[in-house]
This record gives sequence, structure tokens and C-alpha cells, in this order.
Amino acid sequence: MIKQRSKIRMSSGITSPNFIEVTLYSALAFILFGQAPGRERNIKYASSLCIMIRGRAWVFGDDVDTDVIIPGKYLRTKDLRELAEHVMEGLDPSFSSRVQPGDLIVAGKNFGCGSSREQAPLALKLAGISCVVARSFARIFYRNAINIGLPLIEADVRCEPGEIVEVDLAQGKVVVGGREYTGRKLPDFLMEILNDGGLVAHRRKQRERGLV
Amino acid sequence: MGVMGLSMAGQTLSEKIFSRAANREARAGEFVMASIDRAMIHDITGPLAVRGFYEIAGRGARVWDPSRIVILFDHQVPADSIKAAENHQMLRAFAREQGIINYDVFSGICHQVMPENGHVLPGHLIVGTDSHTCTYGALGAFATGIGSTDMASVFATGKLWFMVPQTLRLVIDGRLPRRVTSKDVILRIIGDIGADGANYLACEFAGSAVERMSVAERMTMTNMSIEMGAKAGLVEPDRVTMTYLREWVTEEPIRGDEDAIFTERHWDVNDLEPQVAMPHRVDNVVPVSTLHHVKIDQVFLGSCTNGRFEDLKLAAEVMGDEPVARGVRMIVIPASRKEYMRALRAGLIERFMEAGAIVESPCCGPCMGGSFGLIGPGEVSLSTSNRNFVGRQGSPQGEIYLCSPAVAGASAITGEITDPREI
Repeated sequence: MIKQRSKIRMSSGITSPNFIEVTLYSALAFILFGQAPGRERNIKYASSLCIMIRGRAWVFGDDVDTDVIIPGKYLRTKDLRELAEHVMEGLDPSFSSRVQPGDLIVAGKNFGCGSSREQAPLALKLAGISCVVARSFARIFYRNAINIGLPLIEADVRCEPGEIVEVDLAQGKVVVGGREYTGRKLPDFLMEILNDGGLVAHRRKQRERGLV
Repeated sequence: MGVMGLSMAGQTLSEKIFSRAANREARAGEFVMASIDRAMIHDITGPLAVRGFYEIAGRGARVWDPSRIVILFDHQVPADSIKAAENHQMLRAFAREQGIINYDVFSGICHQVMPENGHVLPGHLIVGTDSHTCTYGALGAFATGIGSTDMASVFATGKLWFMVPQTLRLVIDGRLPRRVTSKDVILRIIGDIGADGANYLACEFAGSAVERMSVAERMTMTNMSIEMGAKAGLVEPDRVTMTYLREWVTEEPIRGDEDAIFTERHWDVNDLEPQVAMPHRVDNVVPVSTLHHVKIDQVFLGSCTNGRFEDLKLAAEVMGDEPVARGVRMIVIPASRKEYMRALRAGLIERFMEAGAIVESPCCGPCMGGSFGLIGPGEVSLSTSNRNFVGRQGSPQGEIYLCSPAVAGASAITGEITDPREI
């Protein structure tokens, strides 16, 4: 058998990946505007500060990968509705026919691991999923979801299938059946991208506002 | 740790690459807006990136630098459907219009075509709309997978923001026993670390075992770094790297400092057994000797993980003159046209064909389940590729085991998962 010994040589502490991604967006705001996010006087965050999502929960476990979210055989399509028709097929073939607009997903750790296919968060969004709540997310999926405007929040939530879940993205709070969970709060700049419907729309709006 | 300590410490290879790309000293944990040296898209994720580019930059816009972009077709080639053909047409037209190099349907898998044509250089920052872009780290580049919208942004500006990752150094010492390969090493490491155990980290492969490995063997390991969540997998450039790159690079490459800050884990491979990842998780890894009478329906020898000449040669050696077992379908796919030609000249293609296998043109094949060579409900695939997720190679009711080319060769002739040391 392989021998393994672990030695921490020097470590400055490894931070949660999603904290890192969230912070990245703040940093991007800083780079673009030269100020901390939300403090740019030309940007109004008033509407984005109260993103509330309320929906019925679909519950999945750990390591939900991009192949079960949308299998490779459907990726050739240009018809994006086809993605929604096959979303989560690998885990629950009846999902796409039963999911209702506004439903949300509650999952365990490492949600969206595997491929870099942006079609994965896109398929969930097109199927009507309003938010993904997971204990943690895989790095590329997290970035892709923000870029295409699918809200997500990192929170360790106990939840039964079909329960009503309320997510307050701005406060980083999730409420299920009277139980309140504190998740990772999204910075205002990230809320702005989500509010605009993703990075492409956000960039377009910035152009219209003469910010870039 | 104090700020002073940080500022005096050396830099990891990743920190140095980001420092160069951001044109300032970059340290793990810092945010940088970095210039991209090379951007790659392929036929599956490319169309969305092109569409996003025009949406961001406007109709008639030009990409930031066509000489830094590579467009390849490898997932659904030659076109397996009209939709795939349309995607290829669209990307060909984009490449022509923008003056971007385009490797067409017979060239091979992006992660083999990129390095073998000098598009991957040590010290470079490379992004690709494919999660296995991390393969290129075998040549000392920092390479990572991104989504199509991020790529659209790169096409428009040539820049992308990153957080400079912490480095996890995986020190692998010892000599690999006969018929035990770098695939077995990386499977064991993923089994030990877990599917999200290296999330967001730069995994640096080092140690005496890695020093002895060829570029092909190193690529197998950096390729699968993403299967433990890593942002990149790297090997410090050495003599082996520079020999591989002699056509393109002569100057000294960037290396990390010995006093850099990183976390380190050690493995000794002197007694390592061949390993297998069982369905449906890449980190569900066991030694092959613990599996008894696992019957297989299909063997896939290929992919960006194990489709190179060395992989084909090893599998052929293990198979000897034996035919593929009755009832087993063996699909062999060289990773690129060049690797195919090497295998052809060495007589490997003929040996596989005589054994009853079929050798396909270079492409991703069954690996992503998006094209041909799929498995049906209840079938078992033994594959040298990198993922065994539910439905990855066809039916969600099928099962995929991941293994080395040696295990694939041994199992192809026996019809069940077999230890290659017993052949």
C-alpha cells in the first residue's frame, strides 16, 4: 500500500473557495471603479439590497457534478430550451417535468464539480430554478453561475424536499420552517451583477451608464 | 503570520506567473487583473463564448489579440450531427474572420494539440473553456478552466481577474513498480485528498518520482488536478520539460523559490499498486487487487488523460498477442493526429486492430458521453479517462471504472478488471 504522511510545512491558512470568489467580485469592483464596492457614487444599489427569494426546495446531496446537471450529449444544442428539458436528468429523470418556476435547490458540499460547461448553471436557470443553496460550491460553477445570473448562496442548511425556503441574499440568511441559517453574505457588487441578469448584461448596462 | 514574514518569503511558481501576468508582485490571497497569454475554446463551449463576446463587445468587434487565441474541434468530431456541424461552421467562420488559428476536426484533443504545437509555454497564464485546461501545468504554465462568459470577457479585453491561489505541493517520492503508472499515482492522491480536497488550490507535483516522469506521464497527473477541485496542477519546468519544448523555448523558465510559502503532503510510490476509481466518484479509489470478477462490457483507451503514444504502447505491451475477450468492445482513440501517426509507425494500430479493438480518429470519444461509443443501461465501462460520474459515458444506469492504460490492456483480454502485474 502507498504510504502517506502529512506535513504542514507552512501555511497561511486556506480560505473557503466561495468566500474567495465572493471577495473576488469585490476586488473586481475595486479594480474597475477604484473604490470599494457600493461606494461608487454613480451606482445605486437601492434595489439590489433586498433580493429576497422564496421557493419550494429540491434537496440533493454532496458533489452534484455538472454531468448530472446537464449530460454532455445535450451540449451540442443551440436551442437553450433543450438544456432545461434535460436538467438534473442523471439524478432525477422526472426533475425537468416537475420543477416549477421559482423552485430552488438545496444541496451539500462541492455543488457543480467537474466540467467548466456554463450550460450547467444555465440549464438550472432556464428550468426556473431561482437560487442554489449549498454547503459549498465548486470554483468554476460558482463563477459561471454569477456570470449568467443564477443566484446562489453558500449556507449549511437542513431541509426536507418540498419545504419552503426563504433566501435573503443581501443579508446572507436562509430561513426554512422557522429555522434561520446564516450563510455567506453576498457583496453589493455581486448583487448588482445578479440583478442585471449576469456579467454580459451588467457590462452592457455599465456601458450605457458610461462607466466603462 | 506577520506581514513582514510574508513580504520576505520567496514566491511559488504560481505567484511568479501571476506577478508576471499582472505586472506587479503578486502573493497568494491577492486579487490581480492579469493579462492572458493564451486562450483556448473548443466546439462544445466555444459557441457560447463567441456569442457572449459579440454581446459584450458589439457586432463587428475584433478580439483583443487573435494570435493569442486557439480554436479546436475535438468533442464532436468529425461532426456527429447536423447541430455539431453547425457549431463547427460557426467557429470556423469566427476564426477566419478574426484571423485566429483553427485546428479542425482531424487534429485531436485540445489538451494534446495545444502542447504539441507550442501553444503552451512555461511561465504563461493560459485559460480554456474546458475544466481539464489544467493539463498544461505539466509544462510549467499556470492553466485553468473558465466558463464561456468569462472567455467572452477575455476575448474582448485580454484580461481576467483572479485570486492568486495558495499552493499545495504534492511530493511524490520513490520508483514506480513495473506496470504501475502516473495514473495510479494521481488516482491514489485523489482518493486520499477527496473530490474537493484541493478546492481552489494550485497543486504542484514534485519529488523524485515526478522528476523521472516523461511529459506525457506528468500531463496525466496535472490533467486530473481538477478532480480534486484544484484551480491548476503544475510541475516545475526541468530538463525533461525543456527537452519537450526545445523547438519553442530556449531561455530559462520561471521556477518557484525554495523559501516560498506552501502546504506540503507526501506520498511514497515504491509499493504502490495499480488503482481503480469505482462508480460514480473519481475519489472512490481502491487498489485493483481488491476487485474480484468485475465483468466489463467496454474498454476505452484514450482521452486527454491517457491517449498518448506512451499510453497506447503500454496497453499494447500488456495485451501481447492476446485477442480482446469475447463480448468486450475495446475502443482505442489516440489523443491527436501526431500521436496517432507515432502509434501507426510503431505498429500499435495494427496490433490493436488484430486483437479485435477498433481504433478511432483522434477526439474525446466516449469520455464526455457527447458523441459515440456510449454504454447502455446496466453496462460497465472501464476507461482510462478522467470522470466516472453518472451518465458520463452514456446511460445513467451504466457504470464507469477509471484506470491506467496497463489495467485497461490487461482487462481487455480477460473481460474483467484485472491486475496488469498478473498478465
